[in-house]
Amino acid sequence: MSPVKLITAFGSPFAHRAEVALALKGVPFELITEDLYNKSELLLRHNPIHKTVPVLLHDDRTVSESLLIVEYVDEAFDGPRILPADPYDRAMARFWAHFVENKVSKPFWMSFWTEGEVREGFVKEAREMLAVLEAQLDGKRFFGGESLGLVDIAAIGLMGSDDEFPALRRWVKEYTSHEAVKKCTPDAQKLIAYFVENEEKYQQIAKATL
Amino acid sequence: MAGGELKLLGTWASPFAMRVKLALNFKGLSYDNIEEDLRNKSDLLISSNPVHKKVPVLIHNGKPICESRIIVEYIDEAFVGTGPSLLPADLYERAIARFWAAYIDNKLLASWFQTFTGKTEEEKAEAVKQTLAAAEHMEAAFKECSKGKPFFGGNSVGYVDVTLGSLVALVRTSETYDFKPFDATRSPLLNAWLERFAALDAVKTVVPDTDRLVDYAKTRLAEAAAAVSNN
Repeated sequence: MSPVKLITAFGSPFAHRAEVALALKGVPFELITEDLYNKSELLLRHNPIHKTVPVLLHDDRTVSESLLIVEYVDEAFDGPRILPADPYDRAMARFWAHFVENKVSKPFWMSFWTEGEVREGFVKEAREMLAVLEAQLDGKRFFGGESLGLVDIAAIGLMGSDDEFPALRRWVKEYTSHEAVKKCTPDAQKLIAYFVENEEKYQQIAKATL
Repeated sequence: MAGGELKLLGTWASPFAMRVKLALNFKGLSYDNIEEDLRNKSDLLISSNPVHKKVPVLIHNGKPICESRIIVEYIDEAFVGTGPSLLPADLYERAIARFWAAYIDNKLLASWFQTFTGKTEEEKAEAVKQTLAAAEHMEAAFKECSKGKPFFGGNSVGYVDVTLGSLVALVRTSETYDFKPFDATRSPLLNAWLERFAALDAVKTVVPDTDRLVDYAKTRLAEAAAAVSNN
């Protein structure tokens, strides 16, 4: 089979999820970096429905949606399991990954790109959701237990969680020092510079979704 | 692990609960159906789904599983060998099935509900547009997944059939509001598929009665409108 390609974008936490999954499995892959403000014909052809990154190209197969890519990578390649083997544990992993995706990510990100009362609302909401995650972590090294799993990969965007959540703070350290994650984490300075440069764009996007 | 006690916490009207009932029916699994009153949620529901406090919840040997699509995948994985498989055997086809199931909830259903709940006529009109666009994508999805066979799952019903087919009552209810996302001219394949799906015995036993659903929807919408105007 031909090498795996991943259409990605700098700074995208969703694309990062797919990269970590591939790195965990030790699958060599080629990164195709998109400019999301000037999307390529390749991206639009391979993800006409959502037009987003990441998109996995594996031979003649195309898989999009970050968490679905993670599940596909888990099933397609040998290496450490990302989802557990037991059906009940798999259901729990999917439940918590969905929770992160649907309940935590939005208020968390929106709290960065909004202001005033609106921002306060998102901060409060994010805090409530993070508290649930904190309780779920419950002294474990990772959400997946002793090793990185689906929920950990889903939650990667939640860096910089505040002091209220000691388990999450410890988890961030564990996560960011993991071999596979280190391979996929962009240089911190570059990332900060990128967000600062695009601050206005993100604020506009945030406003539009309100 | 196969066997064991199955309890489903759901409501007669919920299309999400219906997905689970469909999956259990298609697999030939018997279960204890518990009708919840969502205005007076049972202790069992709250303790089984403390995070969302929503139906459906499947309780298998005392352990709860929540979120309809996750429950359906669980049923398929825990009861491998009992009845037909709902998820495809091929891993790429599985990825495609999951993609469309997620699309149904995140795009199709989201805009469909907005056609009822939109606060302004403008919002509702935009929601209608989005729903019709999503229906067009589902028509193409059917072509891609069925490959000329009667269901998304091929010759037999699969995960996407169950996910989308649970909306059959919603489709019939929408028709009383003059809104047909899956009509015969725009989405002929889906229209035919829906008729075929609704005719299956496993479906007929769990589809809510359309008239009852229309009345229920009217009441809920009136209450929501009253709540908004009272603020």
